[in-house]
Amino acid sequence: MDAAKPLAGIRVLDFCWVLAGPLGTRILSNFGAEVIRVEPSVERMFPDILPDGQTDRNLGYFHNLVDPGKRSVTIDPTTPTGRGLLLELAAQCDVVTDNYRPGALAAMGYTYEDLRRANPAIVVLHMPGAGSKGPWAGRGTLGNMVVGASGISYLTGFPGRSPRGMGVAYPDFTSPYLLATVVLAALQRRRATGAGEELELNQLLATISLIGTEWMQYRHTGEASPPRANRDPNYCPHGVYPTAGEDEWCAIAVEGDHEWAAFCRAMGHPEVADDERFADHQRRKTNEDDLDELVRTWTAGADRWELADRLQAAGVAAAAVENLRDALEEDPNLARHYQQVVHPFAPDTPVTVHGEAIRVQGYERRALPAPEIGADNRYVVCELLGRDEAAYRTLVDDGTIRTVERNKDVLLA
Amino acid sequence: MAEAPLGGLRVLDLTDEKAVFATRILADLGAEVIRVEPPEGGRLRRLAPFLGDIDDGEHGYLHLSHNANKASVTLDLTRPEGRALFVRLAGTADVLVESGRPGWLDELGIGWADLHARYPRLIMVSVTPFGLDNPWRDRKANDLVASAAGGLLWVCGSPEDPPTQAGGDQAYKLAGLAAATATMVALTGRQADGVGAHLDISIQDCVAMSVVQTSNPGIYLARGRIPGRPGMTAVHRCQDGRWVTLNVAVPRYRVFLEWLAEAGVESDARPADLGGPNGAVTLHGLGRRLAATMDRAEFLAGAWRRDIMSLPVNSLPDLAECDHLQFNQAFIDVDDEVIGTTLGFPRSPVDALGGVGIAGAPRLGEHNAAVYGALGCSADELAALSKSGVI
Repeated sequence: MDAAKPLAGIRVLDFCWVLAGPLGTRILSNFGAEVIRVEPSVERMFPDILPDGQTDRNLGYFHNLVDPGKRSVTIDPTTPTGRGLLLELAAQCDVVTDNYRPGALAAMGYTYEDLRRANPAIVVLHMPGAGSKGPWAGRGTLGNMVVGASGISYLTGFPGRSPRGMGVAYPDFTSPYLLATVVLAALQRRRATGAGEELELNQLLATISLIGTEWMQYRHTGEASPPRANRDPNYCPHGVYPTAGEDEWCAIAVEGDHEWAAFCRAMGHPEVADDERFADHQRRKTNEDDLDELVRTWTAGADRWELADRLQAAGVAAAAVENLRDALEEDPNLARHYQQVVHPFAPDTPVTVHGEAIRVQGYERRALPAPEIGADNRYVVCELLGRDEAAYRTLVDDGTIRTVERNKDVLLA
Repeated sequence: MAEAPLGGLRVLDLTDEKAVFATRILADLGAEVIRVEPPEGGRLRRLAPFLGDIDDGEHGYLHLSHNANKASVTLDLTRPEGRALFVRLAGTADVLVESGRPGWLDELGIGWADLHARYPRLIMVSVTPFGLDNPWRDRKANDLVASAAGGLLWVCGSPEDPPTQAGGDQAYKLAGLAAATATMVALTGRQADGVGAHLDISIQDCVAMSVVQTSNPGIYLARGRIPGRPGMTAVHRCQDGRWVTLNVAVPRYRVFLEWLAEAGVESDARPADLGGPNGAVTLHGLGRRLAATMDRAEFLAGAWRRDIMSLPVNSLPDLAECDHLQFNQAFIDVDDEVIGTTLGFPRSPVDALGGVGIAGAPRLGEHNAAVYGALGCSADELAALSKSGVI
């Protein structure tokens, strides 16, 4: 396969907004699909962070994170003329994506019937938060709400604490993979059947699938597991231990007797490996509170990076708990993960983004900058849809193609 | 069911808990997924917890939930006869997914270079804690340690607690999702020239992708801030002790304040106070006070009537009782004849494609005869391999 663009030839008409949807079409774009993004109106654009001293929305950290290599049009999808253009464009696309509330795309004038009439082979993927059917149909949701409703929040944390959940809008980062997987699987199916289809990826149900093991256990025993409190039945000790420095920690996971002995040696306490209370996994588990207390005294004065290095050298899984600065400046293993994109119009203002997590061995993928908002209006209207320059000017003048001022009204996160 | 997207494709599954979710997804998409396990059974089968506390290789919940829809063969890859048979088997496969230590298959002479030279069509996906050729490639990590290194632990949990691991081993889930997507990308890309590729999935990178918002680089690089716990959160406790999430969008500020007044929560906040730099804190405080005045059902109904975004925070028992989930038949019970009981599954992560069925996990080596027989192994050959412990 072409490592640079294995998805070349796939064209996506992308109505996605906020994070979950655009991060999904980002994967398609990173691997060479042509993703044509229909920009939301200025009021609905995702709040962004701009580099220090900058006011140009095209330099936004989020914009460049979620839209790398995509095309951008500002055709107003809600006007009759704009709708006509986008349906005409759909005839030349393979996929249409959105992550609006259920029914919102149809209400904008793009029912599956409309899209299918324009292109019988079109694959349409909707990705609402909680699905289009049932008591919650039509409800707006955000990722942090979906993770709460999924059951994950109740399995996370320590007994007696609030079910705060994961600190991230988690489905916004799992649904993108499913968007890409489902779209590519539907295209695979289309190769066999020749037919397009309308699909709904219910993010809530998909998020619940991420705790299938815990659900199966609950279903069988009728007893809900308490929050895991950083523990794991297959490891002991297993936890996040305080190290020198304020709010600095090291995560450690020890599996089996061999690693236990190695851990004790590496911590300078080989004699504890022979302690009866901790002689095997079962006994370590029984006495885990005492063991954790002991380990905390061992780690308390250590440097978290040095401790992780030492434990890894001894064959024990360990890592410093990394914050954002650590990830950007300290961790050598993330050096390829973060990448800088540079826009030709701002050569002195690189924007740091997360690169593509899926790597092809032997190919070094460089993150692409996001398009300037509306940069591809002319490409779509003139090249793909065959309008001449005069027709294009008319579309601009009558407001079908919206003008987005790059330095005005930027919502800041 | 609708035509299975990956019908007719074969996947060899050498994953352990780190990536077994990926091959479950591929199985749900209709691929024939064959777990290739050591004769004594793969590691996944011996991971706790166990159904009925029975640690016999067939009752682990991780195994039962992740190996549904798959087949199982046994094969001792440490022996030359086992490796020879593996090479023959790989010739029938489209995809090989593995999550061993970097280089372990190369050391056995059945790594990417060996297999690619022999079978250019084969796609291989390797899931490792820190990537195949990064500086930390030889380091170990489980779900907790990868979550620490990827920055997720740091933003997760309460400020008064240590950084906190998510339930359900979400670092593994993120890596599994990425590996499944990687497979779909490579299967699509292979159609152009018939040549496979080797995909490299670092669990740490996958975890780092889950903090692109909470710990976006711009927060530090442009603003000089380091976000901490609890990261993004918006949970409130209702009068009956049950919890909800609440998000009030800008256009609903006024309606939200009217709701407070109706509920008798005194506040002199104006809509403008809910936005701006301190708005989130104000909003959170008001939400907390409002929730405390009523039961959860009343709170949700009140929010929805006003088109304010709110959902319950569900415990596992809540999931079973939730009317929305019942309406959507979110859970499927499967009678497992091997285990002799009913097993509960959530709907498949790729249920969007329609009609994904769930069949129980295979017994160890259940498909030896069928799979090796189709390779051309005679009954006598199979008996000999079995006798010598290769399968």
